[in-house]
Amino acid sequence: MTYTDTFFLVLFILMFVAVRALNGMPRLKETLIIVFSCLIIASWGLFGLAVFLVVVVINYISACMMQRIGSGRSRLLLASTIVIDVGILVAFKYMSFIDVNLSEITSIKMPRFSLGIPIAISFYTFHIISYLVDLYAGRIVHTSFRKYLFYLSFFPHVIAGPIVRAWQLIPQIGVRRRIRTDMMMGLHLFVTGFFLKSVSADNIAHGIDNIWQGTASYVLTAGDHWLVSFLYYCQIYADFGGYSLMALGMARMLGYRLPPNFRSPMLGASLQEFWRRWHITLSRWLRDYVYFPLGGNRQGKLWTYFNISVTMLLGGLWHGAGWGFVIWGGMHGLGLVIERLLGRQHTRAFVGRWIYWWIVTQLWITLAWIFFRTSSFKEACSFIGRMFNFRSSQNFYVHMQLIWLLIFAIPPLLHHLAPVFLRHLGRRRLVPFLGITTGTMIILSVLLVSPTKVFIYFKF
Amino acid sequence: MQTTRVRFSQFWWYMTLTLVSGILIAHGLGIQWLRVLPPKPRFSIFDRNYVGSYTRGSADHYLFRFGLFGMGEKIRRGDILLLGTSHTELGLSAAQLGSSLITSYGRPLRVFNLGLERGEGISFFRDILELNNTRDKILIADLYNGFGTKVSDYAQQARQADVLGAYIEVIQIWTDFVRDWILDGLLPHLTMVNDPAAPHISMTRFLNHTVIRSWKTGDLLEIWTPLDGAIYHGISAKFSCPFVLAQPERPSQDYSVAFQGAFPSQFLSKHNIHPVFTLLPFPKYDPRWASVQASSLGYPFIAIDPIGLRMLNGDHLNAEGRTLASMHLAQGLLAISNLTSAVKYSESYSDNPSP
Repeated sequence: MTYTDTFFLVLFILMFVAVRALNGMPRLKETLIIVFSCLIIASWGLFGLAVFLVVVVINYISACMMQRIGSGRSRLLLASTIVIDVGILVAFKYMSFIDVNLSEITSIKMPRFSLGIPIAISFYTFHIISYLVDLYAGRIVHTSFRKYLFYLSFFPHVIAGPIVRAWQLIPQIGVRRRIRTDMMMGLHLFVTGFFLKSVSADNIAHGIDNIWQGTASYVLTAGDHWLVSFLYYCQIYADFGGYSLMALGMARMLGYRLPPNFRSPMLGASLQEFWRRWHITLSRWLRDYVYFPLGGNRQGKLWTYFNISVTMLLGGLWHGAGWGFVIWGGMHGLGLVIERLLGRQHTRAFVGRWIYWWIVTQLWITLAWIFFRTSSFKEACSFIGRMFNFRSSQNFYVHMQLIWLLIFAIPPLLHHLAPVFLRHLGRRRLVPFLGITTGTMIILSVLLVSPTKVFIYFKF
Repeated sequence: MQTTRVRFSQFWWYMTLTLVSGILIAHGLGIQWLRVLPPKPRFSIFDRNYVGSYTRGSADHYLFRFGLFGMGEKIRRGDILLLGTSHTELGLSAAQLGSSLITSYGRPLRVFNLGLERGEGISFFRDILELNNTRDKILIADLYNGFGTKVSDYAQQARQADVLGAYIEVIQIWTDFVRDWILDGLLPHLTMVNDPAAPHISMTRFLNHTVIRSWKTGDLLEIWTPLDGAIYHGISAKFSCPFVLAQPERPSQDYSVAFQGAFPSQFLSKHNIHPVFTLLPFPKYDPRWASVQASSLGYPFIAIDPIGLRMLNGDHLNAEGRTLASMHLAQGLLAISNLTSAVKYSESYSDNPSP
């Protein structure tokens, strides 16, 4: 069940009414949310729910045991539980990839699971690892199973993030609070996310998916290739950014706050800045649980570059079992290393310099998306090759079908400028403005035909 | 404090005002166009009818395979099951067959139409029969060539689903229909037409192609299209054309192999299932080929006389054509002497199910 499905919206409204009615009874309210969250996971396959519950129980038992045994043994228990968690993730998500690549060089055969990848496994694996590590490090206090299950299964984040830390969500469980703006801001965020996903991302996808699949009805020029890669950048932002806003909005309407996942990433003038704006919860997770434990930047320059590269490669691989994702991560890692070599990570540039670096950064990111999107390395290289094929003047031509799709790229681009605009709007006009934009987005979402597409990050 | 409250409530006022204005403007712009469109179909959810197929996909594939919402019971209780593609779905009437066979066997026979769109493959019907624990039946299978070893993408999706997923998928198809049924006629739906020469925005309806079937018999009750409305009953001459035979074309796939692969004789005898073959007319149909296929398997074949049949489109019969084809089939069934015992056995089994 996708969050833009009408049936989900109906269920969510019923859920919202029930949660409001049970506001005075937090335990009952949260139990209802847990049941609903499990239903959402199960809607993608009962097998997925079974795997989720098994992983949760294993980790909870491990967390309980860590509390009872000494520090030395709890370190061993922590390590072995993480190995089990990562092992389950690898078994379901990467076994086929490993098998294909191993069979290229050896005769070793790996077992494959025909049941497919359980929904949300990448996301909840990161959640449970962060809980265990934080518990071991004494950053959080061990909680009850009900709260633990609520934290992990909470439906706004369970399928595709944001990756929430235990200290961000668990303290909100069991607390009765009512903030007057929650409903208003929650609805606004939800509607904005829905609009970005269903109107922008899905229509762009509808227009360019055939190009990625190589089934376009016309010969593409170099100009077309540039526009398609830019449109994909807009699509993935509208898709994932839209989903994240919906998640924040739903959580807020139910009385919980989740951390934001995006902050105008297209305005990043360096890759470091980009990663502070794009999938923020993932980049923070990678920083805290991979980069820092590897040694971060405290072991000299070479080790720093190595640590950055490893972290970004793992970040790429986390997205999916494919070399395209690894190269995508590798390109970001390489870019971050080059930025450090050039000493760019802390500099505040003048406008001209900022524009120059903004262009360079965003071009690099756009090129990296091609590896993320295409199904093979060869295909990605061929696509990039055609982007730079300006041998004839005809290659500057851009087809009208693609230019037309820029209409759907306007909302995600405008969304990037929203923080600046809202800052200048002033507090007095903010609320009416939010009301008008929310109403406009609802009516446009209803009026405009949108092909239904599953969220890109639901696959991860 | 009071000022703050007023300010927050402004959000709801402005949002409602924008929504109402937007609805009124869209309605005003689209009203001229909406007024000339054919009426929308009957609201068909949890009625005697149901929506079998809508934009999102085919509910029938899930309903039949998993026997959802009592459909499994209807399949189990049926004396005769009609199997096949959309040719069967549109071209045979389970209700008519049941009532035609009433006099010969003392009570109306329970006939259920399992015809599925997208040229559904025979192996998917094996799934349906097995998962619904079907026994003691007469299967009437249409030998249309789309009905081969492969299955449609709808069938593949249904095979990947579990029961909960199947329920959710069916409800989602119906929810989409309800949503569009409510909005249709009230607002225009705007589509971006990516025409290479002149991309533009055009108005469409919320409701899309809808297939409505009967809960009781699985029979097709109506096909509704946005621009022509209800088309199945042939009110418009456009959807009621005489049958015209073209040059017969034999399918590349050997049907008998496909059928034996899905329904080996051990399976049929174990479940006391008796197949009967037919071939509903379509322009390139070849009844002689079909007859050979049936005899190679040793099962009876009932030919349908194409004279006087009315077609909905090139390949499918309309309601009028279905009446005639079902009559021919009923006559053919009555003429098959060895079928009597099978049906009688089926009848006694259905009335007194063994423990």
